[in-house]
Amino acid sequence: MLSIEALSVEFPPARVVRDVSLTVSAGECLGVVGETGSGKSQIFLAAMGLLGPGARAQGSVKFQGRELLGAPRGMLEATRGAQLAMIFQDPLSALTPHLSVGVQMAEVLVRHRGLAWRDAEAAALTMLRRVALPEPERRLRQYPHELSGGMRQRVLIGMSLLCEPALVIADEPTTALDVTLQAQVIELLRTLRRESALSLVLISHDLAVVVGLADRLIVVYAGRVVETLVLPGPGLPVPARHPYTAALVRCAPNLAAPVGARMPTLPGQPPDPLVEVVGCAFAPRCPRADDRCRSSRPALESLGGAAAVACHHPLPA
Amino acid sequence: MNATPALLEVENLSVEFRVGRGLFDRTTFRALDSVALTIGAGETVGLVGESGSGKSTLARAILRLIPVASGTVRWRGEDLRSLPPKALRARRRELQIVFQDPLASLDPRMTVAAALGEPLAIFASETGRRERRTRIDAMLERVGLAASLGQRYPQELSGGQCQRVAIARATILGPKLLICDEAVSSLDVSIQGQIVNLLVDLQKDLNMAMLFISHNLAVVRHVSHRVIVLYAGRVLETASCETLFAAPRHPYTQSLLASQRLVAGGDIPLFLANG
Repeated sequence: MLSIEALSVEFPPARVVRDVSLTVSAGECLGVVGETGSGKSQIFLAAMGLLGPGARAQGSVKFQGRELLGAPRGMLEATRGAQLAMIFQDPLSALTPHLSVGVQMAEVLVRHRGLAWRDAEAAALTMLRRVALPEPERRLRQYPHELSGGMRQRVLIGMSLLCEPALVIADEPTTALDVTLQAQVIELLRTLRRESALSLVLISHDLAVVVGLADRLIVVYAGRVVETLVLPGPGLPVPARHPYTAALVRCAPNLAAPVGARMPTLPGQPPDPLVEVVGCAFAPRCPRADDRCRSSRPALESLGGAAAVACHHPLPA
Repeated sequence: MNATPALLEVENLSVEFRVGRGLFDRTTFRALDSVALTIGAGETVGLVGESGSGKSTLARAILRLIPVASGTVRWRGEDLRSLPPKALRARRRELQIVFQDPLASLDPRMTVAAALGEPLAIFASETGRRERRTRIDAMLERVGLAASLGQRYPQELSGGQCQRVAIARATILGPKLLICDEAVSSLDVSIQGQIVNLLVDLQKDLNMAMLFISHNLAVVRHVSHRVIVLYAGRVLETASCETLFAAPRHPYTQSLLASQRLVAGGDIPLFLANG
């Protein structure tokens, strides 16, 4: 459904996405993890034609067979919102402050589906019920600032689903929320996937959130894909082969660690995108790195099936 | 059981905000309702609750950054609320806070070294330039930053580095209580652990108490001796860290733990296939 080939994104002089290729199939939930600044969001912002000014993207992004990269604005706008929708981290800045929830939701359907205002408002109400927003009739008349953070995120998720898009890209949809609301949003996304075979890309720095939802995982480090793997589901071992993925598994917050124990850590800092790295970008933080890792960059190599790793010394299977 | 007197004693603390729209509309919202808590020297108290439960309001009320409606805040036996401004200022070096967003809490026009020098200039003005320089460099090193970073500006640093600077600035005078208000919540999972461990180390080295505010129970578990659960401005449960996680008594605490488990990927935490 979505096919990205050799995508690179530059904010000259910084190179934030380097030669990334990936695919998303119909009905699949793809998890994308990486640190702040790893380029994980930029991959999908580029795919949607939403990169900031000064950005340069190269490569190919095909959605349902059509090239999106460099596509005319009219075509991008027809695709975005209708077949391809995005949910952002901060629901307050993603909503228009001076329009009521009902108006901004209905507008989507009027514009993309040509519905009459009255029908569009009725559809918006149905959607708010579907995303389990309490008192949906009242919410339609309210403005974004009158809703709590969790309610806003429900509105945004509902809005992204209005035109029944083929693919939804959720960029850190739970990060700005407290634990109670995070759990609710994860439950909601699970329910929606069960009910409607929704295709979903879930971008997060928190591997635990992704493991609870995704079928497949892509790990991004310093603008490159360093590992792809199939997730077996919650409660089952993560078959990580890259030392960075393994570190993310160990660092995932959990309630099983002994009270008062030190937190597991990944030492060091993510690399500066302005500095060109010779060799593997993760080598300075990697316990398995040797001279070879510091001098030559490992290519992403298939391990059979959907699994691939870019590492000279991967962990044993 | 504890022979040393409490460092901080909060009793019956209530905070109200005016929410009325008109000039004569005196409608108020009670953000904190009769909250009581004590913190002993060197003790870490975790404060958990959802957004809007009053966690940050409590921190600000303790530091007298916002007015309170009623109640007392005693710091080493003295009522902070009735302290004259000059005396209050002198206490401020003992009570410090680290906020969630380090970039917003540091002055973008001040270098890292200048940001660390400011508390020294205010509270330890007798120190000479050279000594100040040495203390700044030592503090940077203590929080895991190279002394050369002192010449940089906050916006040139990563989120984790910025938070280390904020922690260095808050602890350079050796406070007796450090309030951490969601201090690691906006950091990447991979950096969170580094900062939490740094805070625990500093707490032991400086023998300071901490009020560790977080909605993330998985983090609170690593740092706290005691945990207080706040909901809608009221304390629902207080327990030792072990007890709270092993046998939470209030249904709300139980639901909070259930949410945390769901977010952490289920009942069994993530583990590797290859150990």
